[in-house]
Amino acid sequence: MLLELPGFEHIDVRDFEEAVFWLDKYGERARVMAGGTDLLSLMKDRIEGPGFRIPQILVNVKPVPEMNQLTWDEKSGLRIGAALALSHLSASDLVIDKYGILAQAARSVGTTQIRNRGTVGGNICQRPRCAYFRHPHFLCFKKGGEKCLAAAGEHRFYHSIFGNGKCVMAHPSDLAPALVALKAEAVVISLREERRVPLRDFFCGANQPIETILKPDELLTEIVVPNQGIGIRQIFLKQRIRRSVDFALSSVSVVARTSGKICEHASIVLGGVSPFPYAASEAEKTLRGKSLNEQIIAEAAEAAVSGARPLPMNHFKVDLTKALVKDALLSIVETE
Amino acid sequence: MKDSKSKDGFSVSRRSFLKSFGTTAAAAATVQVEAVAQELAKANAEQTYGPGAVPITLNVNGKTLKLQVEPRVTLLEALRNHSNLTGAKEVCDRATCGACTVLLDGAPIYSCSKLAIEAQGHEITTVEGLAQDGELEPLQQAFIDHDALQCGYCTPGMILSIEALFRKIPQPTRDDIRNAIDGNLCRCGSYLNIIEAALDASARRRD
Repeated sequence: MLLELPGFEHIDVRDFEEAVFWLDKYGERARVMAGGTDLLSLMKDRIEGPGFRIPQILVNVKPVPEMNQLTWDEKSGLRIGAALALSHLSASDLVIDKYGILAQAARSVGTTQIRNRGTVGGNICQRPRCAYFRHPHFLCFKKGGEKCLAAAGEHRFYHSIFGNGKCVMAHPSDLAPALVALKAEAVVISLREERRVPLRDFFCGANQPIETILKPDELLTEIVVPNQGIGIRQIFLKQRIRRSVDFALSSVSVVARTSGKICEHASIVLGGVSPFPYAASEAEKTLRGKSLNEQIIAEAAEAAVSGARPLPMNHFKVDLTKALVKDALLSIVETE
Repeated sequence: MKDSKSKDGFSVSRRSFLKSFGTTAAAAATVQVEAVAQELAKANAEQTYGPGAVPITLNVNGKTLKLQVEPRVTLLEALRNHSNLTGAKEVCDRATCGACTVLLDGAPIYSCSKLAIEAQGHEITTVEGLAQDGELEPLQQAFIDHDALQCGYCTPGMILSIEALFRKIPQPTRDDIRNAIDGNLCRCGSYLNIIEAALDASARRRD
């Protein structure tokens, strides 16, 4: 289906003040534009729903220098501008050195072309990859319909095994789980206030038509990732159908602090299996203070999926996720 | 687009004005918003485009193209429908297949998902820009020699993705090539020949 974009007004903004001014003025009629890889596709298919209208005004924030920054200092950690291209994030020596899972996750997104244009903020705020949501002819819950069509329909690959509600989408982002595991915060501004939100509270869950807490007049300006200190081990693993292009069937991000073989603390966050990055807190508890051996790792992998309530056709994701968690933890032990 | 004309101190006053804004009582705020609105509208008149056609200037293959397009026109449409450069193909039009790949400042992007208006000020390379004086690039010749295409729809995109790789890594490995074309689908399944052609071309460039 080839459809041209609907008409809109295009505004280049030069600083945050201009950006929030226009967002405040136009509200739901406007949308923030940076990479555009997701937004333009949605607009071509005329996808809209409550809280997400086909925009009449695009506010291009790419020219704002701060939106493209990537800086680090010991005290405040890593600051990533929301409009930074994924390819810049994954190519940064600083990120590779200090926040390896961010580089791994960014590198595993989509394709070379997508990573050259797609942005960090866009990856976190992208809409569901559910075929019913993306198809112009289906009126699903997210588009103002009465119910989720995937729950009783095609949901083998890109739908959830945790946290299902009125919608059974799985959040497609690879970066978001990695950022949640690193205890990152989102900086959100509007004309009236600036707020910092822990990224794990940035997502709304399955019963809201939109996925994030961003209001129409708000702009996600940057992601702040705290300094992780020393003695940190981290890994990102992603399973997908093909080795490129595809979204995660399941992904796991692990950030662990170890001393010797003992695991002092571990963050395990799953992607592609829940409407939001899913913190596997049972698994985290299982590992705390324990010596990392094969048995405890198997127990943690089991605990990671203990809360799973799969849909009729995606039970395989439970086993897949369990295996990924196990692989991730084993490779952390091996890098000792 | 990237225009940063000085506003003679105007932006300074606007910035400090908005900064103080957060602490102001909401009732008084409305009046201020109106005042700022007028100022900003004036300042932004030159940066607000559309929805009607606007003049844009693109730098494609080293040549300057002056076009009159609406902001909703993608770079792909601008090339194909407004400038007769049909090398980039329109297939999925949803940033998925890679047939529309062009180079933007040397990096491959999907031109179907880039607005033409936002491509101003960047160097755009399409497959038409590779051959010099009627002489094919080694990579293009290698595609012919290795039968690296069947229907040919993916070919311009494939060639540009590999060209971008060559500019970064002149002597790539087989894996480098596979990674470089991860965003280009070939529905005929000519991948193996495409990789052979790329390896051959990199060898020819070295010799």
